Amino acid sequence: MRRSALVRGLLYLGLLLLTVFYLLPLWGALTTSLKTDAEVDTTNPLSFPQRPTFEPYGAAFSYLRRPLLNSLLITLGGTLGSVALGAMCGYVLANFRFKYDNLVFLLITVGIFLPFQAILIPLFQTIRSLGLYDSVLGLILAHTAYGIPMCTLMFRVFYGELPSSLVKQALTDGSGPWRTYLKVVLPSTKIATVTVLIFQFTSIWNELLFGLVIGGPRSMPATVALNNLAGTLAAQWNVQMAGSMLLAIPVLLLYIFLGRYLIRGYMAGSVTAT
Amino acid sequence: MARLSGWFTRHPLWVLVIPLGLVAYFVYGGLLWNFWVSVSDWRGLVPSYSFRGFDHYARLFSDPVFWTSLKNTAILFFTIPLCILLGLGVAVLLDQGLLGSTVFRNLYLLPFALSFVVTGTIWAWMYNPTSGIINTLLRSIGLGALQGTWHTSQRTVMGSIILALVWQFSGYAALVLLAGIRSVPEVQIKAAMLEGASKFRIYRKIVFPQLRGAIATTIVVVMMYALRSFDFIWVLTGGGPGYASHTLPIMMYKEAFQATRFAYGSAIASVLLVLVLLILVPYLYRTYRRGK
Amino acid sequence: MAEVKVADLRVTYNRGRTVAADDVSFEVTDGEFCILLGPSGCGKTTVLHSIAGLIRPDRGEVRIGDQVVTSVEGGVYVRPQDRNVAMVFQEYALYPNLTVWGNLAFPLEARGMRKAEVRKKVSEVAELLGITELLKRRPAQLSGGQRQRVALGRALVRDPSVFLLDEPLGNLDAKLRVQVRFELKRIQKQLKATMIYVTHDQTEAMTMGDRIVLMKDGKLVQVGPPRELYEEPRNLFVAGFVGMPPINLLHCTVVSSADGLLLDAGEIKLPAPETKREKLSPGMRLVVGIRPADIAWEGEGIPLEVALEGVEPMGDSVIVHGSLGSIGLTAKWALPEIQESDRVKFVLNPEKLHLFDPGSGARI
Ligand SMILES: Nc1ncnc2c1ncn2[C@@H]1O[C@H](COP(=O)(O)OP(=O)(O)OP(=O)(O)O)[C@@H](O)[C@H]1O
Ligand SMILES: [Mg+2]
Repeated sequence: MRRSALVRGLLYLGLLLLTVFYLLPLWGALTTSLKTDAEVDTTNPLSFPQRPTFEPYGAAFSYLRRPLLNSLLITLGGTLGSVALGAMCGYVLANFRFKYDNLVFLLITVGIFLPFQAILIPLFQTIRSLGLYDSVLGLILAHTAYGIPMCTLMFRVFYGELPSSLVKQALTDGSGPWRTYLKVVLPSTKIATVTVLIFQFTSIWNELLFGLVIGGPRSMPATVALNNLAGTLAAQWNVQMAGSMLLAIPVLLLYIFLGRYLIRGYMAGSVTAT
Repeated sequence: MARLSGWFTRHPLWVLVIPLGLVAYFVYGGLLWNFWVSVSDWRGLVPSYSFRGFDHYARLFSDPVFWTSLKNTAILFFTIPLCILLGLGVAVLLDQGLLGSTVFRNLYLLPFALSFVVTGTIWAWMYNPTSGIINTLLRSIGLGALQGTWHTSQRTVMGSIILALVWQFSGYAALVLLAGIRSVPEVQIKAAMLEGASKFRIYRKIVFPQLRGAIATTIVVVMMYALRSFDFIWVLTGGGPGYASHTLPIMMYKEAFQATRFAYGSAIASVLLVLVLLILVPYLYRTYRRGK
Repeated sequence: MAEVKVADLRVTYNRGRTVAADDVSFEVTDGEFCILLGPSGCGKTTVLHSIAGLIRPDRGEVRIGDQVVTSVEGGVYVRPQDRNVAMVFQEYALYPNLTVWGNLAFPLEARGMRKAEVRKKVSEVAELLGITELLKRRPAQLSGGQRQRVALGRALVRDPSVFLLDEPLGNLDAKLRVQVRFELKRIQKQLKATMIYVTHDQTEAMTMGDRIVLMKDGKLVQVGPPRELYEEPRNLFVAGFVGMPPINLLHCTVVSSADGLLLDAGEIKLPAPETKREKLSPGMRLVVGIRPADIAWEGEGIPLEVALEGVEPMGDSVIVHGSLGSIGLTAKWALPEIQESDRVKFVLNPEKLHLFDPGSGARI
């Protein structure tokens, strides 16, 4: 239905105001991250720097280089681990009926809502006794284990959307469950796999608590390092904002180029209620 | 592969052993272990499991910091209605069929994708009393009188946290609610329009009542974030000033990993767990029954 | 009530790639029961929605009463809610969150009617449609037929200038269908309502309509009273679409003989109808249509001895399938019974033959 130009104009004004609300902090962080120390103190935080400089990025990067690498390793490992194991659970739970299958699913999904504080001390102890304290491997293990519930839920939702006749057909044709998975299910759910991979990647990349508790100086992920940076260099906002940007860049890139999948992941993650 | 395949054919469920084992150990084993710690006398870095009974719980209920944390955890719940109201408004605006609506939706959702550490750092700078955006903006539009010390003042710290969380979550609420609005069949809207209902009436009488599922989802998700709201607060305020922005997760972390009072920390964690379960059980029960 | 006039309507979807209606013009007079008939996907819903204003056409004009409500050329577009039309949607469009009562009351409340009056109206309509016991239920707790009646009720509670009904009986079982059909017709007469009724069921069209607008592939094929479509189908499509059981079609060649022109279909040779004679010439190819009801079992005409293939008793009549060599013929007789035998006599009346051009399908 067509509206008057006035109404349309007002609606667009609303959309623009909201855009300012949601993006203003990020815009401010970006401009500040490109300013020199002197300019940070003297200019309006939202103004674009007169002479953009990458010095803050240099400073932040020299501090965050190792942690960023750690984060990358932890995120890749944790993502692959949790997605692979979650995919198996999701596949079995979506396609095979067995005793207590619903209960198993329920018990796994509880893990999604788990307040991590409630398992933090046992996790800390377990990792310590495995000799994995302050190691990338320990963090990968933790993220794998606690990522399984969400991955299971998402895969069960996505695999459940496949026509069940597809799997049944393959199984009655004599293809075993494993073969069916590799030859039928996996190829026809590529988007689902990408969705879960991206979702897990961003969640693990963004996470702080595990890094704080079972990471140490050697295995510190970038989230912990950025927080420490903020603590040590309280006044240097340009460096802090540059660090924030460095941490945000991988997620921003994923969001810009594969946002569709990420959004699908957010929707699937909330599917239990609807 | 061939041998694995044959084995899996005979025992399809065995493939679940590793993931289920991990979940069983790390989630359920962890919860039990945590409870066990909470009734022990473990202090300091060396574990000790002598039975102390429920002393720590008793101490907890007479600890003013606990009550402050509990109160703040509850205050955080204000994030939920705010997110839903703002999200609903945004979703309705995005539903007007304007060109570029999807682009706007994605822009509003952007903060939700970012790490709490990033947003926490950015908001710390936004709220900075001297050079932060908020005070600068207030000054520049002549509302200098409204300048505040935001997250560094006892009075305003929780409000500041909630504002930032609403900023970060409301785009998500809008996403879920918009999907809910869009799932109302168009023909119902057409019929209502034909029957002379105003736009406002159509939303109020036909569309909004059908959003129950979407609103439930938003409530649960935002609530779970609020209950687990560690990262953001830790980065923005560290629980301060004083105890003013302590929540149960913050208190637990500080007690266990900074003060190394592990038994006391795990008692706090157990209380937090019970709170989460109180909210979660009815919700999961519904889902579970539907699954059956 | 009001008359409706549609002129030169054209509607496209997918930015012009799908033409759903083109060159559609027809008139519905005040108080008329007009049927929009055609096979699935021919654009019936599209035309109906254009009248309601739910679709903006690419071209054309719609008039309700003396008001132009849509005129693409004249730049006129009246919003659907201001057209005072009531519609039953093909998909029901019941509001799932409201009870049956709430659904029926919705159009009245939306227009700000007083509570007491709403109550009165709703119970009247519920009574009329026999859904009074269902008023407290929600749509999800209703059967398909019950939902359809609620949808119908939601149109009937209003006092519109025109009723637009999109296959409103599609999901009712046979018995209920006949009953509601009858009710609907009675209500229409009583209210002297203008109704435009969409269906793809030709029986429904023939029994209910004052006039039929027959569509195919987005275009009008023929407009007229049911009898006219039945007796003078404009082309092969109309002949085939209207009438149950379907018309018999024979491919013939015109040949001349001592008795004049004959229509030669191989095993059957029929004398050409007197009235059409001057339009025919030897060597011409034709399609001859014979209505099953025009095949008698006795009396004047051309008798054919056919092999009996099967008999379908319909209660008050029988449908007889016979064959003559490779040609199959179907007759409909008002005879309650037919003797079992393997041969039977079909009597054709040459003046009741329909002739069509095999290329264009047009009536000759
Ligand atoms: N929203 C749409 N977008 C694109 N094409 C459409 C749309 N609606 C209808 N069409 C197409 O337009 C044509 C006419 O559709 P319409 O719904 O008017 O048919 P109909 O006669 O009502 O059919 P039915 O008897 O099945 O309801 C069809 O080919 C259909 O595929
Ligand atoms: Mg239709």
